[in-house]
Amino acid sequence: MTETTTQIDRDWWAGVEAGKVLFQRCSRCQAATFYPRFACAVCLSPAWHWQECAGQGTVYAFTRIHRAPNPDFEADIPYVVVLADMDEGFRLMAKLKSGSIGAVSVGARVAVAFEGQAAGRPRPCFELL
Amino acid sequence: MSLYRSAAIAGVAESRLGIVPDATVLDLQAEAAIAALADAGVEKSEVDALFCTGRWGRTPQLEIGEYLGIRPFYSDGTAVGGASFLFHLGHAAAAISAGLCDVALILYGSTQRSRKERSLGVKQGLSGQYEDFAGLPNPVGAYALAACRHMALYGTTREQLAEVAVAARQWAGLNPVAFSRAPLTVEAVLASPPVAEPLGRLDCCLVTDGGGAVVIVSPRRAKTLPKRPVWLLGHGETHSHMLISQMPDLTVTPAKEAGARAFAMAGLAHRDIDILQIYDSFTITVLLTLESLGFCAPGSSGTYVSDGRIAPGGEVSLNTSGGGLSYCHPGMFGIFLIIEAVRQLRGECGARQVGRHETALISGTGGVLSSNATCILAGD
Ligand SMILES: [Zn+2]
Repeated sequence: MTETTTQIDRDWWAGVEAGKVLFQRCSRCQAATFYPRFACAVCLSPAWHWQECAGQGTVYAFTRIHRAPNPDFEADIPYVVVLADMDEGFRLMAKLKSGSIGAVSVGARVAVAFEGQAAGRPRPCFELL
Repeated sequence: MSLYRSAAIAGVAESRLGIVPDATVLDLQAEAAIAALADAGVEKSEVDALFCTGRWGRTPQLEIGEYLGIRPFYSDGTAVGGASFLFHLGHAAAAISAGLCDVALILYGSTQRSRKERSLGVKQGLSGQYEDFAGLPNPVGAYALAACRHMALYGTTREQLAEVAVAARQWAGLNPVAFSRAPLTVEAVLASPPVAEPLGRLDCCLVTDGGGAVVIVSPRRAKTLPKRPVWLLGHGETHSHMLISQMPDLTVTPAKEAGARAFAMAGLAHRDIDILQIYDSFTITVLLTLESLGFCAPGSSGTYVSDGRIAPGGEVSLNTSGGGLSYCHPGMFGIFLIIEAVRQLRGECGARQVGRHETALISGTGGVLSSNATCILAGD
C-alpha cells in the first residue's frame, strides 16, 4: 500500500484481500462510483456506503499489451487489458487473468477474479465467462 | 465575453529539433524564444506575460523566467498534457483582452530523446492505484482501448489508422526540419511491431528533443508588426478525466465541446476552415478528434482520412508539418500545432504550402484523451 493510502483506500484494498470488489453507492443520488473517493462524483454528497460488486460485467474495450509499464508485468507479456462495464453501473479496468482461455471481444461477458503477485497482495483481474 | 480578434499571434519559432544532445530544456526554450521574438519584431523587454509548462521542472515559469530574464506581470502554467499550449493561447488572449498584459510569450522545450526521460510507466497521481493493477502502459494503452472501441462500433480498420501515419510522412517529406522523412506505406505501418494492439510502433508519435515559442500581442501592438498578424477568432477548452477508465465514451473526446465553443466564438462553419492541425499523438487521436469536432459523422473518420484525402494534394489540408508522427514530438506537441498553422496562414511553408490559407483550426488533445483546446485562427 502506498503512503497516500487513506481509510477509504484501506477499506477498498481490504475488500480485495477478501476476494471482493467494492464500490460506493451514494446515499443521496444513488449513483455508483468507482474508484472510491471522499464524496459522490455526481452530486458531491459525502454520504455514501460500500456495496459489493457481484463481479460480472461486459467488455467495453480491450488491448493486447506488448510493452509493460513496469517490471511487475513483464513476465506476462503479451497480456490483455480489459475495460469492462460492470453490471452495477461503473467501469473497471483490469488485466485478463494469465492463462485465460477463449477469445476476448467487445461485448463479451467477464467475471472478476484475482491473481497473486510477487509482492503478495492479490491483483484484481478478469476471466472470460 | 468573447475572445474574437482580442489578440494576434505575432511570431513563432522552433528550436533545433530531433536529437539535440548538447542542450538543456532551458537552452532549447531560449533558442526558440530568441527566434520567435525576432520573427515578431518584438523586444524581450516588451514581454509582460509568460506561459509555459513541462515535466522538466517543479516550477517551470520561475525557472525559465529567471533563465531568460523575463519579469512577467501575468503568469500561467496550466498543465493539462500536450494540449496545454492551446489552453495558454486562449488564456493569453483573455489576459490581453482584460488589459492585464500586452505581449505574451508561450514556451516549451524537452530533451526527452537525448536524456531518455520518457517512460511508459507514467505515474498517474493519487487515484492511479485503482488503475495501475491493470498493467496498462500509458498513454499508448489508453489510446489503444479507444481504437479498439472505435473498430468494434464502426468497423474502422488498421489500414484506415495507417492512412494517418502515411499522410503525415508524405507531408514530412516536404518539411526540411521534419525528423522522419523516408516514404512510408500502409503495409509498413501494419507490419510495425505491436505496442498495444491495435496500435503498432508506427501508429505512435515520435520521441524527439525540441522546443517552441509563440509571441502573442494586443491589437494595439499588432498594428506595427513586420509580418502579417494571425488573429484568434475562436477558442474553446475543456477536460473530462485523468484516468482512461473514467472517460465516459472512448470514441467522443473533449474536442466535441471545445470545438463547438470555438466555432461559436469565431462565427464560422466547418466549410470555412482551410487548414487543420490536429494533435496526432497516435493515429487514432486524429480520427476521434475529426469526429468530435464535427468534420465528419461519428464512425466515418476512417473513410474521411483514406484515399489520400489528407495527404499532400488531397482535399483536406491536415497536419501539413508532418505532425507528431513524423515532424517532431518532444513529449508535448501542442505548441507546434500553433507554429505550423501560423506559418501556413502567412504563406511561408514553401513546398508544403497549401493553396487556400485564410483560416486554420488547431485542436490539441492532452493526457489520455483527457483535455482539449481548439482555436480558430485567421490571417489579417
Ligand atoms: Zn450522489
